[in-house]
Amino acid sequence: MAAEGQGTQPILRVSRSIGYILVSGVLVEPLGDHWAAFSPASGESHLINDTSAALLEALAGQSPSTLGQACEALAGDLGALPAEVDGLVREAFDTFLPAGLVRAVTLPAATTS
Amino acid sequence: MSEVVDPAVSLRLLGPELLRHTLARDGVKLDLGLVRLRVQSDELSLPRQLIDVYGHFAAEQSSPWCDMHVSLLRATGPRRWLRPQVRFIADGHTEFEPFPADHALPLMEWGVNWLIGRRMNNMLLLHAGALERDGRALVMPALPGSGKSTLSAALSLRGWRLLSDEFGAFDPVAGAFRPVLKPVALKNESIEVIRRFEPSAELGPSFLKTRKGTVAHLAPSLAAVLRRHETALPGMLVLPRWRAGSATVLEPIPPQVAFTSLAFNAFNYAVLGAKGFRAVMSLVRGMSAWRLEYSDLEDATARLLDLWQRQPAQASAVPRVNLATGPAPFIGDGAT
Repeated sequence: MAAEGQGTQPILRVSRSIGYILVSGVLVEPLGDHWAAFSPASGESHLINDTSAALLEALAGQSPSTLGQACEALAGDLGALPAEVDGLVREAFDTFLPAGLVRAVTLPAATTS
Repeated sequence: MSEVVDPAVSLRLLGPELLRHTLARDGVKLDLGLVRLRVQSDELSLPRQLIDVYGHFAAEQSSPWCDMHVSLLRATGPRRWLRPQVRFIADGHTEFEPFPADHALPLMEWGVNWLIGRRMNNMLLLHAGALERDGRALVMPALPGSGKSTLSAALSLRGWRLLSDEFGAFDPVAGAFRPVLKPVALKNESIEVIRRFEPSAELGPSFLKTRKGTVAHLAPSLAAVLRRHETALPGMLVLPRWRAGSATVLEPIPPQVAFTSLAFNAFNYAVLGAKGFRAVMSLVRGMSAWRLEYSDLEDATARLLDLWQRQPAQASAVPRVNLATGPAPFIGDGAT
């Protein structure tokens, strides 16, 4: 989104990006070799693996994480490079979002002039 | 008529004639443990059927409160002369299609089970057989046709206390299973299997050509009736499966399989939301979990008892669940 300046006013360029955060009320508990994740949105529970649980934990903070930040956090846990887990994280979000475990939010605008 | 009924008198002692009058007037109150049921009826075949399978239950008259009020009433209209029918009415609402009049008992049993499954949402209600021994519960969640009721009946005839053949009613606040004591519904071949297994078993009449084939009910023992308010701590989870000709197989299952079995077989898992999740999680952590495949009831019951006696008592390790907040989740804020 861009707000165009008028006349002599400076041009503000506003860019927005998407962040991801754990849905309030989601519960994740260890379960043998797996993890169980409860979605309050659907009322359903999901069995997930260690990598998915680590990603959900990374998204459990107070503020949303961008895709890049999520990749960095997961890569840190796995001892990998962020680029190496990018596909994994995108795939996980494709599952987490419709399951109601994670929600996408529009991050506050970063402005430049 | 109600004033002549001693509250300590069992249905069996009351007899069919007095029971018929009681049913037709104020109704009879049956305390099943988890729920108290009031039954009214003008169907003449019902008193004898009730005595056969609820014979040890008291005809309670003094209890002011009932959770469910059901009536089994003869259908009216010209049809009543050709093929008499009976209707199931719960709290004034007709819930099902009528049954043949002489099938009042199976209609009542299915109707009451349906009501319990819909209403008792302060419990985690598992579709499971549940029995008690040494203060702990053996819980057997399963789909219909898996042999759950037959195995529950057999165990109840070999010294286990029947809690229910249909409902594993877990009270998350108490951290214990509560009895929902009703007759065990046996279907088709299972009826003769149980007759052969224990010739002294108190079986009610066989109802032919019901929606589930032939049905007969095993009466709960007097001891089980007298202890219907005694809870049982979680003990062992067994997933039973009857398979013709199979040798008895009893082997451990991983916790994720136990979790999915419990969640899948809970009538009200989605209704309870996070409370259900916490309750199932506490059960998985508090009970050992096994898979049982069997065809020979004697062998299956003996193997279960042997396993039970070799298990360390884990009941005290089962955490009680605070329904308001639950334990702090490993991940997540736990908001409900």
